[in-house]
Amino acid sequence: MSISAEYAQEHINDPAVLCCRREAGTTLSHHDFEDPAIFDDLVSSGLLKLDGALTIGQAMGSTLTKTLDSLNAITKDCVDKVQEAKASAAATPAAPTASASVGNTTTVSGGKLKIHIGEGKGIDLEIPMGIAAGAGAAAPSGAAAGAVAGGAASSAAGGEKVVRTLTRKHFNITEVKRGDKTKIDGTTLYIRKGIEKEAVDTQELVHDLKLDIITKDNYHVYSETIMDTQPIATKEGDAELGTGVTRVLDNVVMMLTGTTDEGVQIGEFGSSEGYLDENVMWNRPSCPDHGDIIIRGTVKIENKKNMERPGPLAAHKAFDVITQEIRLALKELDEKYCVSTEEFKQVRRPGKKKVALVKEIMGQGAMHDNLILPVEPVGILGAHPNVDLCNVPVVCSPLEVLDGCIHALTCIGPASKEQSRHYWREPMVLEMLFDEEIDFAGVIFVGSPQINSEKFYVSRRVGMTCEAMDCDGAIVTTEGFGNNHVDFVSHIEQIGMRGIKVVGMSFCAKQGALVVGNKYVTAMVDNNKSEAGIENEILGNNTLCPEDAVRAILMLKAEMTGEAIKKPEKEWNPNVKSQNIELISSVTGKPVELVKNEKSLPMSEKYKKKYANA
Amino acid sequence: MQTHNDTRRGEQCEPEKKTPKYIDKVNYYEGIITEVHDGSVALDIKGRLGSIRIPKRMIISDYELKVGQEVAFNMSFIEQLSASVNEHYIKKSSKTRSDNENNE
Repeated sequence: MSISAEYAQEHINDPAVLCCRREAGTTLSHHDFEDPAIFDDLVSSGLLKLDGALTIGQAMGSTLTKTLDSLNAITKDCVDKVQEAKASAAATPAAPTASASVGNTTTVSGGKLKIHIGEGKGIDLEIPMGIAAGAGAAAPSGAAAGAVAGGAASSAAGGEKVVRTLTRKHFNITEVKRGDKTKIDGTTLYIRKGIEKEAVDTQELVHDLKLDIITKDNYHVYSETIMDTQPIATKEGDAELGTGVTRVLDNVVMMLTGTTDEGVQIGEFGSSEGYLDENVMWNRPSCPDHGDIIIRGTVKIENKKNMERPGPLAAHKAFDVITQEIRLALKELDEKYCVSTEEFKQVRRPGKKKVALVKEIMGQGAMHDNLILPVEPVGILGAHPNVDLCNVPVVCSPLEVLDGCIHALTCIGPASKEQSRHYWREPMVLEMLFDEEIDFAGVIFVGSPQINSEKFYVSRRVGMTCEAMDCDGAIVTTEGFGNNHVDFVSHIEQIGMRGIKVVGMSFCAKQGALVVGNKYVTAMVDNNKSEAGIENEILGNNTLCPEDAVRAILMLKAEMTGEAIKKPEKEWNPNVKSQNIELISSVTGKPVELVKNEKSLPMSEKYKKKYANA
Repeated sequence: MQTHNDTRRGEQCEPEKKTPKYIDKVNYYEGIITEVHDGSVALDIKGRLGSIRIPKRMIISDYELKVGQEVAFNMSFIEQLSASVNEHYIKKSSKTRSDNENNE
């Protein structure tokens, strides 16, 4: 089947192959070429050989010197002349599971615009005035002094503005005990005995709640499916989320687990019940760190409510009664126990490339839901479920995200779900927040509804939001796979069609390959960490980590400076990621440390023996 | 008292598996939605060929999901991967677990 002139332009650097028999003397045009999108299959089945094939750009306009049948590649010896290569139109077709390589690099730092081109010819460089102006900007540290929390701006050198600041005060906890009163005594947290019953009594659907304190020595303990892992944090004074001071307890997390009365896991389907040390990928942004004391709540909810919205929500509400009492104790804790202080500044950098982060969160119902913007970090009170907000985009500041503006009910797929703690230390937000080469405009949360028409409704709003924000680039992330990929790809289309450069991030690999695509899905970062490229039921294993964030931001910068992203391979190939990581390490001079995967978890004696004998 | 258990998880702990041979041979199947929950959907495969329960995000829908709607998908046959039992999954089942605990 021949292709259109426009399509030929998009594929000007792809091999030229005849779509039908053509006689000698034919002057080649787009009517004569086969669609390059089908070549991978033809090559792998042996029907097509592309050795020595000219590109469409080189063959277009040349005259055939011999008669050729369909599906023959056009080589140098069958045309009268080879046309000079024209400038590439970058777009490549939709990627099945894509990861892609970045070739050259452009960095703006220390007042210099550095462009490194490894190899190439016919290169056009266009340097937007924005970058040139931004290149002269001073480091953001100068902007700190006059910062006013809560929205007032202070101007600084180079037009940089500190929009707001957030201070995190860390308090260390070394022991958690039960006592007569919930209090923090130095570094010991006491949780009131009998609080469980009060928590249960607040929710009609919750019939039982058991509280355990699990320390590092006791990680080999059975656990029902893990519904959420949450930090324990509270606001100081009347400060709103994302501004002012937040107090947080270190080395301790809340973990919610549960079943129905008859023992069916809440969040059936690939749930993560089992022995904690074998089911949790420690130190993922979303998970407990190895060594953390885990305050685990095991709830029992009414039968048959595990797959209905009120069930998981009631479990979260009951558990939050306990967390809230700890928050109140944390508010009272003497300042002298504060072990460290962190300050986050949201800096706007007018003149630099404006970039937004679009985070797709689940909104199909039941535990596919998230509570947005509670009063307390990762709390319940004051928050609205994105399902009730009809999943439309909600713009948050990066500091609101880091201050726990998402209380995740966390959906299926333990390996790829982002629990509440993930947002508390979201690697992509942190990477963009500290990047002085971009103007980080904000984080857009958008729910993923069930029905296709609603998916397209919300993704059109995402596109319009990015347009109104006047973005130069956007990164779109999603968690897990399934019908959420339909809107994920639609978000990319809606952003891309407005001329905004866009990079997508998802778990894809082998099992989560995209089921849909469009011409804007050209730059993708795969969050997979599992050896086999599958949902391996290990909590947090395939979630977004710093190694993914650094690839995404560099890929976006490459796109925004007009570089083409290499086409993905046909099948998932983990080497693409390693090559990109190597490339990034060699260009930036900073090694990118890769996180461990399921192979690092304990292996039983029985299987050790089996493997040793094998 | 928690005793050390010899289950372990992930692909690394699985019994030796053979490579499935027939999974690329897909056939067209239709089904009827029999249950719709906030988080999941159940369906019977037409021709009394069994039933499936899946999370909602694994079904692509143009309209609101309702009991009685027809759905379609391509599927191959299900192949056994090994003769041995994967203890990890046996012990994950709540019933088996409580039996184990009683024996400990």
